[in-house]
Amino acid sequence: MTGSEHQREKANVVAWYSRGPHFRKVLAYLRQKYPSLPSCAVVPSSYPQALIAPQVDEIRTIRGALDALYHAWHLRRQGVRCVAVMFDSFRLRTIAALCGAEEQGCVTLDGRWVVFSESLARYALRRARKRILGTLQWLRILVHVYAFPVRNDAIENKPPHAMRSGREESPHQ
Amino acid sequence: MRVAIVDLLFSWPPHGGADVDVFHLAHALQTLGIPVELAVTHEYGSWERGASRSDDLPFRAKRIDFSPRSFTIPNICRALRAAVEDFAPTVVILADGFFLKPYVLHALRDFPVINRYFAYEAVCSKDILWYRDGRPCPHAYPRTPDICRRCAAQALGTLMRRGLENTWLREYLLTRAYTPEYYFFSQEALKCARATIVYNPLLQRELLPLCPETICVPSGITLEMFPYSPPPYRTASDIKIILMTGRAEDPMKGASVLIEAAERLRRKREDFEVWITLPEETPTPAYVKCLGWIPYDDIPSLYAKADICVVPSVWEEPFGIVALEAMATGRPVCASRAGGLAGIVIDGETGFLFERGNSAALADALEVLLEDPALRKRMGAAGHERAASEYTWRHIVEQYYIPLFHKIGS
Repeated sequence: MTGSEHQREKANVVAWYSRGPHFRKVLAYLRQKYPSLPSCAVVPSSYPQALIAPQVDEIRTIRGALDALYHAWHLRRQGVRCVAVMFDSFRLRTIAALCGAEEQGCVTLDGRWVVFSESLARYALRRARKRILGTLQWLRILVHVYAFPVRNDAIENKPPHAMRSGREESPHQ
Repeated sequence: MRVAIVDLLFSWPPHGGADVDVFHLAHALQTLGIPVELAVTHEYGSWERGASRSDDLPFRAKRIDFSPRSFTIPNICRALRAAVEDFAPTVVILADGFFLKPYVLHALRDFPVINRYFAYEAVCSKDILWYRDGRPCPHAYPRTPDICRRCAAQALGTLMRRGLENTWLREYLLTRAYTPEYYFFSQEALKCARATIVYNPLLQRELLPLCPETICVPSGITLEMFPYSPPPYRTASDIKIILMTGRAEDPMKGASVLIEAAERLRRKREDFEVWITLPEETPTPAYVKCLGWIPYDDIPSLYAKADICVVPSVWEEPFGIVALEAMATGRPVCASRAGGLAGIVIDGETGFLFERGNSAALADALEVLLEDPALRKRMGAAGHERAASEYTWRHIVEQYYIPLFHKIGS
């Protein structure tokens, strides 16, 4: 076996199932993107495999989180060209990273390919920052909502601030 | 007459009934010889906003691109106003949008604008559903702003605390929709519309005080896309197909009601299968088949295989386009008596209406239809007749839109 043949045999593309309506869209996308590479679908054991059998070369079933980790490790050893998951989340990015594919990403509900370009650590940091900022923002909104009610007498009698002197004075301009 | 349609959330292929409605309205206007242009906002990275290519559409369309940084209220208003001025329309239809709609309405106030609502965003700050604690919400943002502001802040807090953002939340934060100022601004801005169009009387009642010219206009159907197909031939012992299409994974669509009804029915008979567009691995009994995602173009052939269609929504479905699609293909429809569905399906004539969430009533209706192939055929034919005579896009445009254009354009 030559080096390139060996490489081709090892290279494949993986679609990792999550609960969502567009798994077959993911498979169709991978088939279109890598028509000559063997494809593998990783699905839960309860998934009706007959539905996707014509679209993939191999179907792996997983039972629980430990089994998922085992399969990710196994795929990593085998060598994977591309891993596609169904959503962009920390858990699915971790799975994609564990598979060790050259190309990792998710196929969105509308069929777009979103590449996971940043490292998992950087992504985790970004998410943590967003969580902190999001929580602070939410607290600020709660203060607004509870401390500044829309007064009933204002609804009845007062003209809105924004409309008194035209759109240039709308609340955000 | 020239019509500009402005949509802040349009995508094609469609993400929902609003996109389908806008597409067919623009197409029907063009077919009738009325110049039309669709102006849509597109934000990079947003799957809901403007994910379409203007050259894919069979009518004139202008996509206005924004980066997440340039997607600001002044930029949006300026760009949309410029797009509308370029086209010089006699009427503007402001289609889908969430919290940004009042700003765009205000920016276009020099034009005769028709404000179109496809769901309940005008009366609910939490989401477009107007549904709370398992039932339709008794409050409405124009009447009870503080209750609605608190409800929205609590509900959206889950997303914010997790550092996540969707299009609704993005507009909520961008417009500061939680402030009293936004309330006053939005209520006044809605009055800038010369007319407001809604799908059902429920929303009409809420908006009439803000816009006296608030009218109900149904959505339509393209019969070429959903042609009539004769019901499949089945003997009494053959398996009949009960079909539910649409976003069945959304709990509001009531798939659980249908599954419960099927379980009841299974105790009496075994001559049916239920097909639902739920994710494939959803745990269901063997006689319930989960179809997963079906491309929009394949939906008509799915109806052709079915014997009965079910729309068991538990929320006040604004219109219920899937019921109309099923009727157009000649299938009897069992639908919950909720929102626009009650106006589409004629109880006992084109199908059956049952109380929302009542699986026993649905099981009874399904049993009557399973028992009687002649009734299925008769109701299917009546449904097709109704769709063809009252809901074609040509009819909808001629009956509702053109008289309205003349009224407000003059």
